[in-house]
Amino acid sequence: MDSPSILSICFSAILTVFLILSVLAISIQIITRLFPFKQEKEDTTIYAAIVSSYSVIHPGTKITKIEEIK
Amino acid sequence: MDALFNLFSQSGFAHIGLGHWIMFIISGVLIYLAIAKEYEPLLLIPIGFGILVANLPLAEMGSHDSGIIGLIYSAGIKTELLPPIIFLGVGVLTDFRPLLGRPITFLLGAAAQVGIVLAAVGAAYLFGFSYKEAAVIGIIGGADGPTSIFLASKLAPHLLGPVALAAYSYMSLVPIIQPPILRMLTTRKERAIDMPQAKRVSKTAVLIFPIFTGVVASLAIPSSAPLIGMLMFGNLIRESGVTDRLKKTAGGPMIDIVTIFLGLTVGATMTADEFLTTQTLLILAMGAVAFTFSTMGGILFAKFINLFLSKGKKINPCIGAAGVSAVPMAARVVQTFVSEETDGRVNPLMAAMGPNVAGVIGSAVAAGVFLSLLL
Repeated sequence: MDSPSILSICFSAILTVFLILSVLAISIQIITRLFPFKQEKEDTTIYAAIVSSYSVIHPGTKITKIEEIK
Repeated sequence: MDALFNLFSQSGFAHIGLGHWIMFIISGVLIYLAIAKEYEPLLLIPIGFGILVANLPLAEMGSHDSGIIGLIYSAGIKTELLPPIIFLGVGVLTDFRPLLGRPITFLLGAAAQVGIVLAAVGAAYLFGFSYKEAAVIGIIGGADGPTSIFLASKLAPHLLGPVALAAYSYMSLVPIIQPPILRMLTTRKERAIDMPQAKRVSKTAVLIFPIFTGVVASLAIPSSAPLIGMLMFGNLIRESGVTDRLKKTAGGPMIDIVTIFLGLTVGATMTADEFLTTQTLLILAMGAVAFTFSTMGGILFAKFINLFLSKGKKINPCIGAAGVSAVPMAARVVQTFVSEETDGRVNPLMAAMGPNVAGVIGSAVAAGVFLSLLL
């Protein structure tokens, strides 16, 4: 069998990259649906600490949301 | 007096030629860029110093000599040991959540590999490089240093120096290369697309991802397993939450040690007689072509996807440029560009990290395909 041309090698490469990454994208979509993110319960101690600290710095401020960014 | 002349004739000074001086200048430029401009300093300083010592006549410090650097080269590059270990460290340092929270960005990482194939075809047909050499030149478009070194060491070891130099140079020049392309291919309206935050991903999904990806990619393209397998192993160490010591070692001292060895030995492959050729200039030029087309591919594919998305779900096409996998530089460049263009209203850093890390997987897969078909 003749060795493939660079054109067909390159075509195979980009096609394979698209194929594998598409499979991964679809699989991850399924996985994230099967195992959805669940909001963890708020830690009341941390909540109280943040509210009290903030009220000292900015009196009268109302804390409506605390978000942890990892 | 004769003894002194004899001693001088045996010194390196007596053997320095014009080529050596040119290489000293190249080495000096790289070290200058690393220190003064902070362009990829962790790599350009070892590479620059490697070039310097490799071109000291009679010092036997080149990668193909019998000295210490030759020893590291034989044990670390020829055996394909070092690039996968770098990937292990990269896996530890990479957070795949932005990608998992917006899986469509996998496709942008794939589209941004288009420069690899265009440059490879161009190198083969326009400049007469062999297929193996052309593939190695093309992979520069992936903007992934370890992948370029991995592929070059297997397919065309004689091109290792210029290919690695081109890959790392263009990676460091992302802030200069990409903004004009972004400006040229996107409209003001497109740059102002403010994407909603990606959905949050559960711990279970984050843990399944490296195992699943490692298995699927390695089964599909076994020759990509050393890179993707190690990348995903590193990510599992990171996300498991129970291997803190391994995580610290792989993402800290280990990757640092390997970076020193890799940079030094790659730099030391660039001896004057091997590097100062027209072939090197062509490789650098084709590398730029590959990199430019990869950036364009990511942006244009994002625009293409937008044709099928409803108004509220459109993606900012600028994030496609981050698919070239120079992590995290490309994502940062997109963030800076879009933020400046929109007076700080739009900040797509996290969205751009998705295609950015997908690009790492994409370029490793492309390298695997080249290995499978050409080795």
